[in-house]
Amino acid sequence: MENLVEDAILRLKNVSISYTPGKNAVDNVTADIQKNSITSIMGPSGCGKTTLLRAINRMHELYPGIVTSGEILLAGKDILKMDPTEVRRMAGMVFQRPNPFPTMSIYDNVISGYTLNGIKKNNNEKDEIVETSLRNVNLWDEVKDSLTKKGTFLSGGQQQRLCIARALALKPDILLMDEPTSALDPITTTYIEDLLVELKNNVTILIVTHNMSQSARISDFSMFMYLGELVEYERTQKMFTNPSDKRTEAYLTGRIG
Amino acid sequence: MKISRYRNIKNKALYIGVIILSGLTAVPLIAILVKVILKGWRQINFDFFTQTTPTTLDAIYAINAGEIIPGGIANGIIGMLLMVLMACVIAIPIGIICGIYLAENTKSHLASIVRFLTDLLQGIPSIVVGIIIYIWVVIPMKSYSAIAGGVALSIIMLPLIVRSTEETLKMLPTTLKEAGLSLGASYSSVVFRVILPSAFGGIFTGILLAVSRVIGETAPLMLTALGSSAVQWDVTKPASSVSLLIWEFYNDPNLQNMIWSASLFLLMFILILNIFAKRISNKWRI
Amino acid sequence: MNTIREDYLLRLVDEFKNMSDLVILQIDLVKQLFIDKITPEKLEKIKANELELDRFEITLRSDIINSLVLQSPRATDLRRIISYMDMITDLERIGDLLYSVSKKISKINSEEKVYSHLRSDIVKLYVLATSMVKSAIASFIYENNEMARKVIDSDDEVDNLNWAIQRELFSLHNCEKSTAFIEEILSLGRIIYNIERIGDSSTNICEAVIFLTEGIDIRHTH
Repeated sequence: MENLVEDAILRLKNVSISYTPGKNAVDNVTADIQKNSITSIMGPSGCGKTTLLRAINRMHELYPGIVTSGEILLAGKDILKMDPTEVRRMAGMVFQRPNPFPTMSIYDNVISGYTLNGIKKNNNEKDEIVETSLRNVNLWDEVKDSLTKKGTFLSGGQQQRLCIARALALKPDILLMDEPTSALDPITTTYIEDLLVELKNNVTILIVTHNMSQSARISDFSMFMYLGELVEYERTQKMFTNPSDKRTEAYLTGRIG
Repeated sequence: MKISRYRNIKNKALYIGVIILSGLTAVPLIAILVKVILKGWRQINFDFFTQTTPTTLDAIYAINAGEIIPGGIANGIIGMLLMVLMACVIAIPIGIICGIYLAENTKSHLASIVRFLTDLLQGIPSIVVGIIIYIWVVIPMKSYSAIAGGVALSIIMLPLIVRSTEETLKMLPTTLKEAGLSLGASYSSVVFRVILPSAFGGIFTGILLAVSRVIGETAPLMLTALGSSAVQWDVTKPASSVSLLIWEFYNDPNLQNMIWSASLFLLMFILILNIFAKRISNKWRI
Repeated sequence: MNTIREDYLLRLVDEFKNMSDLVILQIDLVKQLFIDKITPEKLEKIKANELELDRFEITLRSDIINSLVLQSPRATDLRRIISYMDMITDLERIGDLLYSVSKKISKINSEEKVYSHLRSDIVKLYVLATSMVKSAIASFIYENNEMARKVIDSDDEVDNLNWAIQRELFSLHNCEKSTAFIEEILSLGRIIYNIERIGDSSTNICEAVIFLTEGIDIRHTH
């Protein structure tokens, strides 16, 4: 696994997370994530993939009593020792259900990363950030005439792209995605998958997915987790044709999970 | 099939029964409205809103002359508005912040205690609230006052606002808060710029309903605001309220007609407030 | 209780076994033509089997396409399906080669000098090549990669015997100059060539078995 990744933007070292003492939801995970790639984390329900993902932007701390050990280095910084709000600006997150802020317009939604943080930008800078972010998600042409309308008037796929734009506006080092297309229809899903493949040239993407086919379609590297353990971490093409671990094999062929 | 016919008949019978019973519950409301409107509309004119209460003498002259009683309930209206305003200033910030605390901490021990106390507060009879405020505010101030009335009303309003805020916030999807936090915003920033604006509709409705509840309160005001025959802008002095005036009209045999008009005014005010609250909550539904 | 996917794969295994059993039967029938009298009934039977093998190839291929589309096979399931595709093609080719051998043998006069001189060697070559087929099929049924590698190695022996017989055959070309004689030599050359190709197809089957069991593609590497 040492030579799997050449240019690592995220390094996980012996990361363990537990909700209740004695039982690890994430058990001693060590992995490097390649910059400007799409890496997917797969595994059956309860295997710890979402917990691990949320640890990277310290969102897992919303659960009281959670204990984390190990090191997580994002762009060289130890994020477990930093101020959580700063970490979250380095690692953007997109959730399963599109969640644009319902009381804000599309424009305000995209720029909300700055306004909520009290970062002042003048109008020109704001316009530029909004336009660039919306262009990056192929939404600019569709909404440029209705930027003052509320975000909730968009379709599901557009809302999700808006959420991606909102996360990208802060220019994060890594984009964390928690099953971003599982609430969307197949055609919209394909649209967003194509978008992600385009986006990976600008930002590293780490995506948790239940959908093995999606993982096979778009990810360069795949991690398989089972009962909190990182069972296998490999180039997607190799993992899907010739996995090394029997548990990976069983999961891919539908015998477990 | 015999069975399905029996079920059809049962269905229809229940359906008719439900309609009849619902109608029956509406009967008292309609009866009250009709009576109040019929007896009170004659007293309502421009003076009604701008003049202070008439004296007994004025009333006797008017009745003998066959005219409507002069004067109005302006002192009651102003007093009521002032006291409700003060009650809002006290109860709304405290209530909302409490509501936020309870919604965010569903499992904490302290939160359950606070929740329990809020429910208790809601159950305290309003006259008991009046007595307590009499002891806490009226006696130290050595005077009845609108302030005391406002404080008493705020205590009655508080649990309603806390509960409605808590319920509204609980109905918001957690992903809203998560989205805000995941952008690196501080907790307070997320609460004030994302959560509260989204919950605005429900919170505002809760406030309006609390207001419509306390407008009609009489007993606590008797012990705190006492009443006043003139429009009183100095809140450290005794003040009047429409509900207090109704009680005063009841006690004066010559001012009986004013009871109905004042009651009509109150009912209309509460009705309009409720309609307003419903419209707002529909518009702001997420 | 098997899942739908497992049932589907089991059905594929069954159909593959039926096809490979038929090939083995065909091998024995054609061997009869070298040893015993050649009768029209035997030839008819061989021809009927060959048509059956062609039909097998078509149904199995469509089943494989279905399983790719419907089952999204991954990992070992995927390699198994791909191996099937390769092996069915090879089995069908072995069938074709057997059929063409049978047709050519039926035209040769068993009393002819060259044939009677070389017959035992040709039969030896045939037995070697066809036992490779049987071993290859067994290595697939039991998913035994050691057996598969042994079969691939034994291809050298078949090659050597093939060359030996060919040298012997062409050394005889000066015996006579008649057309019939030359035709016989050419026919025998063709028969030997086809038998050697049967050996090659068996190694292809074994390469597919290695891909299935070890996940590596060793074609053209030896």
